[in-house]
Amino acid sequence: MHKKIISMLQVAVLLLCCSGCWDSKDINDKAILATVLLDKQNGNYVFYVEVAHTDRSGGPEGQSASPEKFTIIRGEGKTLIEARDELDRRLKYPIYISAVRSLIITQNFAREDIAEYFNRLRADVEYRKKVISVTTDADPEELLNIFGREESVGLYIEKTLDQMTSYRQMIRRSSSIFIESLSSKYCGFLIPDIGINQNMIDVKGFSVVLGSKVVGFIPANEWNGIIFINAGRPEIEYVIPFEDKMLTFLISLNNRDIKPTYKNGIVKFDLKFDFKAELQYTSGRCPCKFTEKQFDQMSDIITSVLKKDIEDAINTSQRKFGGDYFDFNRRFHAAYPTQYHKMSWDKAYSKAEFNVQVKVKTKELKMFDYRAHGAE
Amino acid sequence: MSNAEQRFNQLTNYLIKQNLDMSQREIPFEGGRLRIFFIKQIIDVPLLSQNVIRPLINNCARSKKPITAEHALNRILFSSVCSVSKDDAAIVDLLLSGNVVILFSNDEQYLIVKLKRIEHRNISEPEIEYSLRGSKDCFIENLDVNISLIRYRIKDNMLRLKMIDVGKRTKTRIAIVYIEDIASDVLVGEIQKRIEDINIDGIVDSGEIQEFLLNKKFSLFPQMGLVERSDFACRLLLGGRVITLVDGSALALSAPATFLEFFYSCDDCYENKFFGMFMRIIRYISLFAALTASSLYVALTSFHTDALPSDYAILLAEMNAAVPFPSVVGAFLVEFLMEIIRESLLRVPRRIGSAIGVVGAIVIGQAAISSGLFSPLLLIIASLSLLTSFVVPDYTLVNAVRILKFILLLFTCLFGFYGFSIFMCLILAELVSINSFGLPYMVPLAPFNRYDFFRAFMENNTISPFRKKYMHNKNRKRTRKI
Repeated sequence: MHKKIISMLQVAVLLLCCSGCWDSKDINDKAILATVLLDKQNGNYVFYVEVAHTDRSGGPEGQSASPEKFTIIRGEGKTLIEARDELDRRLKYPIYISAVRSLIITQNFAREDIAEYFNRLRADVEYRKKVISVTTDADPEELLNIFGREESVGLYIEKTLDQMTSYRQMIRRSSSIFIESLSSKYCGFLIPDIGINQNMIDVKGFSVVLGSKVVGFIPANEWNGIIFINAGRPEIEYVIPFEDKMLTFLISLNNRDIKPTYKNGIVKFDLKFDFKAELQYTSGRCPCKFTEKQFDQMSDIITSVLKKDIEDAINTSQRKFGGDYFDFNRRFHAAYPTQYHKMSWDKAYSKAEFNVQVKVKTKELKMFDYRAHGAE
Repeated sequence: MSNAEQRFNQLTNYLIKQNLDMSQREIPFEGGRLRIFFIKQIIDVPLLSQNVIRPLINNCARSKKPITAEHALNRILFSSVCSVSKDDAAIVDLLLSGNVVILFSNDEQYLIVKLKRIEHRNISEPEIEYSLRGSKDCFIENLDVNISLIRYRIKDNMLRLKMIDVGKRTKTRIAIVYIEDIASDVLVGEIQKRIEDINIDGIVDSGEIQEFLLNKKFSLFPQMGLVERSDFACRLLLGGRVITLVDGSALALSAPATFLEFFYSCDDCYENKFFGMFMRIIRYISLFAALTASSLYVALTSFHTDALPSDYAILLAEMNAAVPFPSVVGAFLVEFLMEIIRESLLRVPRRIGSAIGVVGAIVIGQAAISSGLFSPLLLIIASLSLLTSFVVPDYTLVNAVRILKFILLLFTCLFGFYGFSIFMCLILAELVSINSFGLPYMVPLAPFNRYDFFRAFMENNTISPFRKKYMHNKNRKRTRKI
C-alpha cells in the first residue's frame, strides 16, 4: 500500500513538471490573432495583427454589441523583435497566435528576405505550421480594413484558397513546406499572391521565391502549366475552338509521371501527363453526336494546348526566373542523391532538358442528342 | 395432571409472556382442549376461520374421542399446507413467519398451518427500467409474487430456486434463481456460499445483500446488475445468469455483471437489431460524454487552447468574455448545481418535481446566462453531461460516473490534459482489474474475445445461436441455426 502511495505521489510530482494549474489561461484572457501582416516601411519592420474583438458582445443581455469583430493593431520597429515588443505593449491580453489563419507578407517585405520570419515561425511552438502564407502588393491598412473589420481577412483568404484547392485549381502549400524548403540546400517555391480588385480580395497569381526572397510574379492567366505540374489532381476548364464552334472541356489530370535522368552531366526530365477531357458544352446549337474522328481531332488540339502550357511554365522558370520552383530538385535528389550534392542545382536546372509527353482521352458528357428527338 | 397437559400449560404461558401481539383461541373437546395461536396481522384470518376453526369446532363438538395433532391434520383441517412438529423451540419463529400453531393438551405434537398473508401493492409499471416495447410488469416487494412472475414466463423443470434466510432478527427470505442446465455450478455455488456467509442481524433490501456480495468492497463500479422487470430477469436467466430475489425488495440482483452489460436494455432485443446496435453505440458515447464533457471543456478553454480551431477559439472567447469566473470555477459550480437539481428532483414528490425542474431550468438556464454568470457553452456542456447520464439504463453505473466526473474535473483543473489522461488511465486500470464473481469486468474487451466483442454491439438470437462464450454456461446453444 505504501509503495502504491509513493508511486502515485511520484506521478503527481512528475505531472507538476509537465503542466499545472499555473499554466492555465482562459481563452477569453488572450488576444486571439486571426491574421498577421508583415510589412517593411522606411526600412522598419511593421506588424499588423487582426485581433478578435471578443469583448464586443460579452456581457449581460441587453448591452449593445459592437459590429466590429476585429481590431487592427500595428507595431513597428527596426527589428522584428522591436516591432513585436511594440505590438505587445499595445495589446490588452497576451498574444494567442495559434488561431492565425493567414500570414500576409507584403511585396516590400518579401522582396528583401522572408527567411527570418519563417525561421521565427518555426521557433514559435504556438504558431500553427499549417498556416496559409500569401504575398500582396496592396496597402496593408486598406487590405485589413476591406470588410470594415466585420469579417476576418485572414479567414477570408484561407477560405478562398481552400475552395480553389477543393475545385482543384490551386496548389495548397502550408507554411511548413516553405520552412522545409528554406532549410534545404536549394530553395524555390511559389506563394499565392493576393490583391484588391474592385474592392474585393482577389488571388492574382503566384509570387516566385528563390533563395529567400521573392524574385518575380506569375499572373493567374499563366498558371495552368504550374497547376498541372504541381497540384494534386487538378481540374481546369479550357475553351477550345473547333470547326465553327467553341467547345468547353473540363480537363482533369489522371496520372502524372516525372522521371529524372542524369547522363554526361546533363539533367533530363521525362514528364508524362495523362489527361481526361470531358466535353461539357458548346457554343450555339449542339450538333448531333460527334464522330470518333472528330473526337480524335479535338484530342490533338487539346494535347497541343496542354503541352504548350506545361512547356511554357517550365521555360518561364528556366529562362525568366532561372530557378526551380516546381520541386524538380526533390525528385532529382531522391533519384541521384550523390550527384545532387555535388552539383549546383541552379546551373543544372537552367540547362536541364524536359521531354513533355501529353496524352488526352476525350469524351463527351452532358451533350444533347437532337436526333433522339427527331431533329435532322 | 398428565405430562402432555403440563407441557401444554407451560407452552401457553411461555407464548403469552413473549408479548408478540398474538391472538389465541381455545376449543374444548372430549378429554382435552386445543389452543390456536396466531398473529392476525400476518395471516389470512378469514381463511383461518373457514379452513381451521370451523372444522375444528364442528369435529370437537361431535367427537367422542380425544383429538390429536395427527388426527386433526389427516381428518379435520382443510388447509393445503400444514404439518406436525415436536420442536418447542421453533414455535415462536413459526408464528412470526405467518404460521398458525395449534397446541393440544393431550398430545406432545403440535400442528402448524401455513396461512401467511402479507399486504402488498399490486404489480406496477417499472420506474427505473422503463421500456417502450417490453412488458410492463415488474417485481414488487413480495417474494412469492416475484417468483410467480418468473415461473409464469419460464415453465422449465430446470428452473431452480434456492431459499436462504438471512438476518438473525429479520430472517429475510432470499431466493437464488437459476436454470440448472444453463448456469454455471461454480457461479451458483459461489453466490450461495457468499449469501450463507452473511452474518448480520437484519437485511431489509437487496441493496444490502449486494454490498455483501461484492468482490471488491471499495470499488465504485457496480458488480451486480439491478433487475426490476420480470421479463428482463427471465432473459438474464436464459443467458445463464443467476438472479437473487430478496423478500421485501422490488429490485432483484443479477450476477455476474460485466461493464458492457450495464448498457443493455430490454428494447435492444425487442426492436430491430440495427436499431439496437445504434442505441448501444449511443449509450457508450453518452457515458463517455457524461464523464468527460466538462473536463474536456476546461482542458480546451484553460490549458490547451491551441487544440481549438480558430473559429471556435474566437467564439469561445466571445462567450466567456463577460464571465467573472475562470472556466475551472465555472465548471465546478455548474456541475454542482446540476447535481443539486438532479438530487432534489429525485427526492421530492413527483407532482412538485416538474415544478422544481422548471425552476432549475429557468434559474440555471435563463437567469445565469442573462446575468453573465456562466458561459452559455458551459451550461450546454453541463446539461449535455446530465442528459447523457440518463441514457445508460442501469443507474448504478451512472452513480459511479457522477463521482468520477468530479475527480476527473479536479485532475484536469490541476494538470490539464495530462491530468485528464492520467485519471482516465486510472479508471481504465480499475475497470480491467475488477471482476464480478470471477468474470473479468471488461470482458469481452479485456480479455479480448472476438466472438463476444461483436455481440457487445449487436445481440440477436437470429444472428447467433449461441450464448456468450465468456459466461462458461453448461449449455451454450440457444437456437437452432437458421
